[in-house]
Amino acid sequence: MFADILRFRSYRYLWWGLASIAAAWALYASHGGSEPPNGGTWQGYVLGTWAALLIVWLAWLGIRKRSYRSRLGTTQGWTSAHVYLGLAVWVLATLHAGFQLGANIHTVAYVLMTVVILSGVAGLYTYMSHPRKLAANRGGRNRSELFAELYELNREGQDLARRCGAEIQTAVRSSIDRTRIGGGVLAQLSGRDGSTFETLEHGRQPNRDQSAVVDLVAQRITRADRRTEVAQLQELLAVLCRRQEVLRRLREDIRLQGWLNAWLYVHVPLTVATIAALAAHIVSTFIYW
Amino acid sequence: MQVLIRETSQTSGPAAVHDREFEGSELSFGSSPECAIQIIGRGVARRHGTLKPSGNALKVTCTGRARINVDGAEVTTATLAPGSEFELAGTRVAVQAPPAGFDAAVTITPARNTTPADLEGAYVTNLNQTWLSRRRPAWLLAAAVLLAGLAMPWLAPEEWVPWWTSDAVWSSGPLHPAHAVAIGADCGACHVKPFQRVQDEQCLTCHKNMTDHAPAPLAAHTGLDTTRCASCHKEHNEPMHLTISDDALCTDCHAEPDWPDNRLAGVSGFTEITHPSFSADLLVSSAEARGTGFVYEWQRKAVPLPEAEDRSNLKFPHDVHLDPAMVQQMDTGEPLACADCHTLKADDEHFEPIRMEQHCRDCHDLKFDPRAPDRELPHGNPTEVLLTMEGHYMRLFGDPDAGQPDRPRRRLPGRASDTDTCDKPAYVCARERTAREAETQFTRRGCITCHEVAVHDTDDLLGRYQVVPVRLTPDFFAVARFDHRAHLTQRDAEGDAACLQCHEAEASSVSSDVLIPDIEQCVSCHGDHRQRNVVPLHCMDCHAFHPHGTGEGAE
Repeated sequence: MFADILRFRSYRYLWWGLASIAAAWALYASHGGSEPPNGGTWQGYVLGTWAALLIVWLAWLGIRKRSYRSRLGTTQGWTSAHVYLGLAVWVLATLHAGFQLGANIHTVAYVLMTVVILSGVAGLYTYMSHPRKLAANRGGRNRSELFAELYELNREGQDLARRCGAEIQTAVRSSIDRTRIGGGVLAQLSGRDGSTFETLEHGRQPNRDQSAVVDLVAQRITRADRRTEVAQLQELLAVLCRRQEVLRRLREDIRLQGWLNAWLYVHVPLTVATIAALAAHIVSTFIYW
Repeated sequence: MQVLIRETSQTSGPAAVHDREFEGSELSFGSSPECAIQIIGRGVARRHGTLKPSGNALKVTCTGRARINVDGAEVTTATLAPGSEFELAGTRVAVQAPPAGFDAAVTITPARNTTPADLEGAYVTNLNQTWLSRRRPAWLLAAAVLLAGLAMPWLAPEEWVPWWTSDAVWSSGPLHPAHAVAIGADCGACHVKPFQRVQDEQCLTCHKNMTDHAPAPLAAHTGLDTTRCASCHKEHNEPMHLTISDDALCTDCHAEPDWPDNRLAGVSGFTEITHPSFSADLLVSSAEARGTGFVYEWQRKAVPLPEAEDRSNLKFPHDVHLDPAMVQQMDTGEPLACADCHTLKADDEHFEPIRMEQHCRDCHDLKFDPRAPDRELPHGNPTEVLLTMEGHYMRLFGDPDAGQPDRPRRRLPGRASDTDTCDKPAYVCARERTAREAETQFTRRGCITCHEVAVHDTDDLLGRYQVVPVRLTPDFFAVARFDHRAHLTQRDAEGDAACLQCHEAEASSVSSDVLIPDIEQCVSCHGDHRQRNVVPLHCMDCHAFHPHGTGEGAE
């Protein structure tokens, strides 16, 4: 669990982060009255160098986590340090800036870094909360097993529908063909179900959560003449309901998995942009020293 | 077009067909449930291709790199006449002759060997399968930041696209308003050479008359000669001040002065212990004999207050003038107030000079002959005084009627009788009378009341009396500032009482008293920033780093 990463070695990196913050505040408080706190004092240079090195190191996690053969600490340790020192770097950078913001490249770097950290906090939240929900939703199966179950239910549904009349056959086959799972970014993250199906009478109909086709088959049972037809339809209905339940789990699985990854689409590009802005910040500062 | 889609089911059990109709301009196929024909299997794109009518045949067009298999060949397009078919991932799509009422007909025979993985692959279930990307926006954003934040302001001409190519985006904060008005966005006014700190020459372009803190030899000893202006005056930190107010600016060196020939006491704060007692900058005259008299030269000299004596050469008892029983205003009879003589200048620190004509003459007139009550001696020039007297007596003795008083006049105590008698020629009488009156004025009463008079042993009356010149000290503390007006506002005292809290004028009977208080008076209210319950003062509240005025060193 991710909580174990946060507790890594008795919160070692939490203490490192807190120590960094305390030291940064002490350094900030040492600014005399001869100059307002800013990035150009010796304290400002120390804080800025420290923060910049930390940012580069934090970004290094993206490379480190892929190098499985690295012996430089464990990935858990790196991730734990990444979280705590990533939060500390925001304090460091704010104190480096002396709370001075403006319309310039320096503030662009600061804002980009802030968004990266906020997206990291969002990621931290999803890593803390979503894995438990994912496990509960899957009920001990993984996504491929859920798809395998759906595959079987699709087959069973099609086979059972073939023995029914044209109306049921059209509705059930089309509901299977027109089942939507996942899809675009918003569909994945919202778990929205755009499934449809077709009826002989009305053509294409919405079939959110498969409820329309389930209703149609259920109503057909009440109008069935023969006992065998009732039995067939009941069997079909049972398959459709099981299918409905599997689809719900799949969509929830995709939604939760989506949120587990979504923050990275902000975190990673803006990290690279932050490093670029950091370079522009440092170089421009010394061009106009 | 109207298409009949016939799907055969061979999944299990007996084969069966299922017909459905499709209406649209083209028939799409692929793994997406959006497609008219959903084909599930390995290698099937979400939108694999389309079928469009082409005569009585159907033309298949694949999208992107997608391929279909027609007669054993991988192709991207094919025109399928009725009776022919293409195959995709085991699924066969055959074109049939359309029955009545349809424009086209296709028969789909699904693959037998599809797997659950093929089903899963038919859906977009991961964000990395969508348009979202990490790498592309990362490089785009980084390039945009470097271009707009570094390359364009550095390399592109400023006037190109001002809002984009201006180096103002590098400014770390607003300038001091005066600099902002004078320089504006012209960064190059100060930042001349890339990667080089701002040099003093750029400051001195405008600040031409800046005075150095210490004379050159001392500056070299203390390193001040190589200290840049900008090491103290940090720009781009507004609304903070450009000047340093911190005491460390002074106490770093002045706490323990270690330069050669130092005459300054150490100072590390503002208490009687940490700050030296005050010395008054006095004007001291030296008399040098020249001709029949003396020539006086004035020099400034710093003297510790307890030993300080003001050698202004003017006699003035403050106590008498402030005693209501002794001196009153001529017109109102009110006692004299400090402000009757001492007028604060616009700088709120110094006072307008005291002038005889303006401040003394109302009471101290220069009449010398009771018979001529409107006649006064001129002030400021002894020769003129003697000539005035001589002319007056000449007329008096030459014309006996001229000296008769117009009205009865009270006889002044101790003064000789108004009626001079002289039997000699008028010219001789006048000169003798002038000599007597001059002696009275210069040595007994008159000029001698307020002035020091040197009497020289000479027969020439014009060279006999020399009034020692008067110089009132204009500024007792040349290296310090003091706001008199601010200190007139006090809780328990106002007006003269406020003045007298610091200046003990009521107890001063001689003008040599320097009525300037020492540090203990200041620290009764003030202190430095380390103390509590005081009005804190920074060094800079009284002193200036760059000396005012002459451009001499701070001493």
